[in-house]
Amino acid sequence: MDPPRQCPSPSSSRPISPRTPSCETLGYVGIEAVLDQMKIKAMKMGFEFNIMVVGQSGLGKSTMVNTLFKSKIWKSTPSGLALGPIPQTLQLHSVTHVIEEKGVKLKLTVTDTPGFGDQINNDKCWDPILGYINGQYEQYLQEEILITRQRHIPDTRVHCCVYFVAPTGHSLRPLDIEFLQRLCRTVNVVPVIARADSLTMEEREDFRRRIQHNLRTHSIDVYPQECFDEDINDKILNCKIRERIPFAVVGADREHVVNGRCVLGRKTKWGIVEVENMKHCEFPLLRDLLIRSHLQDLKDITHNVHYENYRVGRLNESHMLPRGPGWVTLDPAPANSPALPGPSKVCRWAQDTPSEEY
Amino acid sequence: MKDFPGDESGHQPEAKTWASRPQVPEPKPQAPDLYEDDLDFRTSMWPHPSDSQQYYSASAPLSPSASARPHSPWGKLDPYDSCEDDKEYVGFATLPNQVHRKSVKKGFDFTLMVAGESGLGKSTLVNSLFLTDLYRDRKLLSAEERIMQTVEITKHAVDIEEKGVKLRLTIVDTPGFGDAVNNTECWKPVAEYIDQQFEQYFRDESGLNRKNIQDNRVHCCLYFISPFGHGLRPLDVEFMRALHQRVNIVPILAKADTLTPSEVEHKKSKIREEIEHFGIKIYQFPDCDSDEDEDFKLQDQALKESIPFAVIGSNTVVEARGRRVRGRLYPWGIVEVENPGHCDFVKLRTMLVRTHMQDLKDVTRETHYENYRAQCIQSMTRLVVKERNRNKLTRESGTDFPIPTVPPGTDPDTERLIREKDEELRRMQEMLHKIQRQMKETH
Repeated sequence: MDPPRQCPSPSSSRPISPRTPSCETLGYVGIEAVLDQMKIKAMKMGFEFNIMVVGQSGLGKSTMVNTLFKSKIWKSTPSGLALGPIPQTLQLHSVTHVIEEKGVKLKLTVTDTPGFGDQINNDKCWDPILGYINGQYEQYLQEEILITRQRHIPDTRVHCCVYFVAPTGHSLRPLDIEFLQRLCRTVNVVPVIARADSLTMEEREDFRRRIQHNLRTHSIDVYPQECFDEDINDKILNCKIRERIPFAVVGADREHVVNGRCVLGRKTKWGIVEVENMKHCEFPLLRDLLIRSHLQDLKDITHNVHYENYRVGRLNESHMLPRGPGWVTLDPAPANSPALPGPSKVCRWAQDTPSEEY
Repeated sequence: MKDFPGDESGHQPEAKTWASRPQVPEPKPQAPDLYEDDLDFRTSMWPHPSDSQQYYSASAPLSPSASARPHSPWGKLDPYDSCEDDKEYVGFATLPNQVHRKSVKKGFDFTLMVAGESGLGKSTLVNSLFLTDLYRDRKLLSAEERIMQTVEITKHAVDIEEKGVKLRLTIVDTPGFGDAVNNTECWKPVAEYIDQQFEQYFRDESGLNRKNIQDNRVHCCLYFISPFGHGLRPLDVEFMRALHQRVNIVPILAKADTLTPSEVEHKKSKIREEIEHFGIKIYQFPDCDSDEDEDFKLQDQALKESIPFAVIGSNTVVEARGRRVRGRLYPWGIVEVENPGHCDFVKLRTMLVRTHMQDLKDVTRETHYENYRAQCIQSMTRLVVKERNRNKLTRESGTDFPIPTVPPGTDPDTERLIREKDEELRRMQEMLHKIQRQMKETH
């Protein structure tokens, strides 16, 4: 039997004693200092974020990731060179970096999916991806039901999946629809129009409308999902985002000089496409959505909704009780059906009363 | 179309300004205006590194390239909105702000237990700490009524809101503690209460619907030590020993206005010695980092040396030196509650609310609760194995139990306990089955 945990020694992993705020007025308890305490703890622990990029080869996924995080996370494959044989099956490559900005540490994991949609017969090419995502949920679940759990369970679950749509200009293709339908029930999906510099502004708008129409017709619920808007402010903000989904983006990791400024962009004979210029493409919107404003929300929805759905499914399957060394062995997660049947209620706050439990 | 919740005032909390980041204007109480063509480019003030492409290996840190930065449409709570940095940042330093917004929306909760004999000023102190009036309608029991009383556990909940931050405070009181003639095991109801809260949380956490778990676990216990004795009494020692593995104990020297400063010092050191001597593990404050400045370290040190906190509570406001303060009026002077020279009330309140509330909750969650959970699971294992041995369960549940040897239960007490646990287990299994049936029906 494991010895009981001791209270953590004062110098171990606990965050430092926060400073006393200076205000000491009569009639004031000082509750909002709790926020400071949380902030100190969060800064010390750092944050985690896992993102997955999916799309056919050549759509600029690696370049986009590099542009988003302003660094060479992947060596982007140069075009025009012989790459070697296209991988026969879909593989998943993950790379993890710890980046720090203004005192905030972020452990970023990017998962790429080379080989997606590249074969002649692309049937079930989403299975390895779903398997990977569910595998991460399973790993988290196993950690959570141990007898002696870690203080902070490492979070490898995929928080966001960016799906790259080829800029055909027509509408979503069958492969896109199949994939999106399956994935939007398991993970937050953000579709983007890749390589948007091949479309003019009008073509972009038309393409966007058609894609939105396709998404509605096939009831594909992409992030930000409507049913999770908590209050009116969120709803307004998210509605504006939803009008512009999918964003038309261009990725670039080279810099050029434009009017004396140095910008990231793609240089062609007829001009330079500036990545960060809102008039040229919508990359800033994607970056702001993913990183600056909705990062925590992505993580929360993954944890509170998608992971909980997975967990409920597994609990039902195997009548699970918490396990530990030498106690209960679970039925292994069925290997041939990685996509659990999506429950019909994917709402975050159960509308039904809690009295039906216990 | 989903209906909106009732409150649509759209009130946004004030932006908290921390020392490290530049001043940001308060967010307007509406969604930020996106997609306006108000993008302005800021020219770079200094030359960028000549080689624009940056290669690095997997573990090297990020090196931002200097270039112009568009104004973010989401930029209301943006720490990047200052002109001083022209370097391009990825932008995730807004994460603490995002978390902040969500926490403010959700609010916090905190459960505090006060324990100690009657008449030590517990209720007054609670009222003073949180500026509430929880015990307004209380009536004190007379001597005859008190003989009959056993230890009860009472709960009061109050919602406090300050500067947009909501706190749901629950005070657990233990009237009747230590009041009877024979006080053997009078801490048992208290320990059971704490364990019950853990158990309930454990059940909720292992259940199917985890959306609205109520966290009633006790985060901190203020134990009141009488100033009239010579240090700790046997009852104090037994109580603290019974509870120190279950809850964070903060010892308090009550009614400190009956003591002179030197008596206070003497008592404090005596109590500290005895706590050490009896192996009682009270709540430890976390250390500060070595790179903090000197006066912060001194402050931290002072806090640690003030245990147990000598406090005075009062809810009446008196005039002292032309100011209105909370205090107690005596013919020989006025004791001011919030004067650090008079008592440690300010230190206690600072510690409890302003600096260590989150840490108290963390230690409860990560240590005390996890210990309870581990014990609970292990005792459940032993019982399930016993049951398995007795009634041969079929393998339909699909779980495999290895069978360690369990010593047979000897005394009738254990037998009774085992029977009770069996019943409980059976009930839990029934509940699980019921839920599964329900899930199957709804599919």
